[in-house]
Amino acid sequence: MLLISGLFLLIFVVLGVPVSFAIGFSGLLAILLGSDIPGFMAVQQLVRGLNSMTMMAGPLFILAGEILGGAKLSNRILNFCRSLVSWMTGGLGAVCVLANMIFAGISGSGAATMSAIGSLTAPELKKVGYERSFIAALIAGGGALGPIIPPSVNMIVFASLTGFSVGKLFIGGIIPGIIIGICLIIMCNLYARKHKVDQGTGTFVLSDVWKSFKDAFFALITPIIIIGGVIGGVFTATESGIIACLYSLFCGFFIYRTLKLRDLIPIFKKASESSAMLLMIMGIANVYAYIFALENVGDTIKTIMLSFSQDPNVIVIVIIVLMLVIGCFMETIAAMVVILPVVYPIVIALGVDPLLFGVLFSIATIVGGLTPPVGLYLFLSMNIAEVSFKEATKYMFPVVGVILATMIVIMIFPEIVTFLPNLLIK
Amino acid sequence: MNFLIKVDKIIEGIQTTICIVLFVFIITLGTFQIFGRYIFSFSLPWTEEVMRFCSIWLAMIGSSLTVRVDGHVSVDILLGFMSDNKKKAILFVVSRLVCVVFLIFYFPAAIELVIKSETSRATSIPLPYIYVYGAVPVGIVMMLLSYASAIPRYAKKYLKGK
Repeated sequence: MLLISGLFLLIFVVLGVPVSFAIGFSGLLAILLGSDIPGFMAVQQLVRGLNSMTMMAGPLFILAGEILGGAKLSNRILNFCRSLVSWMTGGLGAVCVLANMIFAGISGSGAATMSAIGSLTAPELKKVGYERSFIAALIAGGGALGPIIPPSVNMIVFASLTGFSVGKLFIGGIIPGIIIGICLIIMCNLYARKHKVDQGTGTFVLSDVWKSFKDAFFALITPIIIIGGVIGGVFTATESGIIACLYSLFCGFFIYRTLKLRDLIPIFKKASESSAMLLMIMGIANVYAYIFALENVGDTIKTIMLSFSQDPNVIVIVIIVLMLVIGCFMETIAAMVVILPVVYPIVIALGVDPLLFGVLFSIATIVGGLTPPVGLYLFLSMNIAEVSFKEATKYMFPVVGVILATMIVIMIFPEIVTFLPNLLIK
Repeated sequence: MNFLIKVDKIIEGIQTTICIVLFVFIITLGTFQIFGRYIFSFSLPWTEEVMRFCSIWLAMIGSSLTVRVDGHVSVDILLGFMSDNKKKAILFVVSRLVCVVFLIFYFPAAIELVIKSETSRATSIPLPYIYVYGAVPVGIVMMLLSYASAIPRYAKKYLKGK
C-alpha cells in the first residue's frame, strides 16, 4: 500500500496535479489496489478530517481577513506604519514589514497577508530604488509572518491534529513573530545603507502618527480583540474567528462605511475559494494518515528515531529538519497532516513541551513555503514583485536564515515561546 | 456555445450562493453560541455539530469554486521548465484530467458511504447522517461541472501564453 501510494503521489505531483487531488487519488488507489478495504473508507476519512470544530477557525479567519481587505483597511494600516517608521533609513521596507505584522494579527494565512500588504507596498519600494529581487524576498518574509503571529492557520491545523490548545500556540507565536519582524526591519536598514537607497524622510512627526493612528484605530485594535478574547478564556479560537468576522463587518459597514452590501459577494466567494482549498488538503490528507496507521508507519518511524538517539532535543531537531526538507518539495499543510500524527506521540513520550514543539513545528512549516523549488509564498512574491524564479531566490537566503536563526534561539531559550502563554493562560 | 456559457454561469451562481449561505449560517450559529452563553446564559446543544456539518458542505461545494479559478495548490516545476505554450497547455489539460478521473473514481465510493450511513444519526439532533455524507457526492458533481468549464478556459489561456 505504501509503495503504491508513494509512487502515484510522486507521479501526480510532478505532473502538476493539484496537491489535494494528488493525495486523494494516490491514497484511493493504494486502498483499492493494495488492500481489501472497501473504497468508501477513503471517503469516510475525508469527512472525518473535515468534521472538526478547531479546523473551522481557519475559514473564519480567512473570511475576516478578506472582509478587512475589502473594506480597504490595509491602506489605513499602511498610513499608520508610514508615519511611524518611514523616517529611518530603509524606512519604506520597514513599513512593509510592520504593516505585514499588524495584518498578520488579523488574518490567519500568509497568502492573504501578502496580497493585502505586499501588492500595495511593492510599487512604492520599486520607485525608491529597491531591487526587485529584494522586494520579492521582503514580501515573502513579511507574508511568512502571517502564520507565525496569531491567528495562524498552520497553528490551527497543528491544534486540530494533536488536540493541543490553539490559544496557547497562538500566544506562543507572538514573541517569535516580533523577533523575526524586527530582524527583517534591520535587514531593510542594512540593505538601504549598503545600496544607498531610501534614506528615509529623516523627520518623525508625532502629530502625523496620532492622526493616522486615529484613522486606523478600529483596524489596529482587531488583533487585540481576537487574541484578548482567547487569552481571557472568553471564547475559543473558533469563536474568536466568528467575532473577528462580525467585528470586521461592523467596521466596514458602520465605522468606516467603506463596504457596500454588493461587495460582500466577491468577498465571500474569495474566502470560500481559499477556505475550500485549505479544508480539502486538510481533509483528504487524512486518507494518508489512515494508510499510515494501517501499515504501522508510526511504530517503524519511532523505532528508527529512537535507535538514532534518545535525547529529546536531538529528536526534535531531527523532526524539524525533516519538516524543513519535506517543506522544500511539498505543500506544507498536507505534509503536516501526514507527518504530525506519526511524530507527535514520540515527541510527547520523550517529555518535550508540546507548546514549544508546536510553535517550532509551525514555524518550520512556514519556512517550507519560502524555500525553492516548491514554496507558496515564494511563488506569490514572484508574481507581486514581477521577478523571475532565479532573481527571487537571491535574497530569499537571508530571510530564511533569519527565521532559522530565530528557531535555533528558541531551542536554546524556550522561554521565548513558553513565557507569555504560561503567564496569560493558566 | 452561448447556451453552454449561460448554463455554466447559472451553475457558478448556484455554487456561490450555497457557499455564501453556508458561511452566513456558520457565523449566525456561532454568534448564537457565543452571545447565548454570555448574555442569555443558555446554550443550544446542537450549534457546534451543525456548524461542523456546514463546514463539511462548505469544503465540498467551495472546492468547486476553487476549481473555477484553478486555485487548488499545485506544484508547477515541470510547467516552469516548458517554454512552448502548446506543451504547457497539454500538460495542464493532462494534470487536470487526472483530477477528473479521480473524482469519477471517488464518486461510487462516496455513494456507497451514503447508502451505508442510512441508519446512523447525528448525536445532538435527529439528523440522518446521509445529509452529512451527502456533501461528498454532491461536491464531486459540482467539481466535475466546474472542471468542464475551467479546463477549456485555462487551456486556451496557456495556448495564448497566459
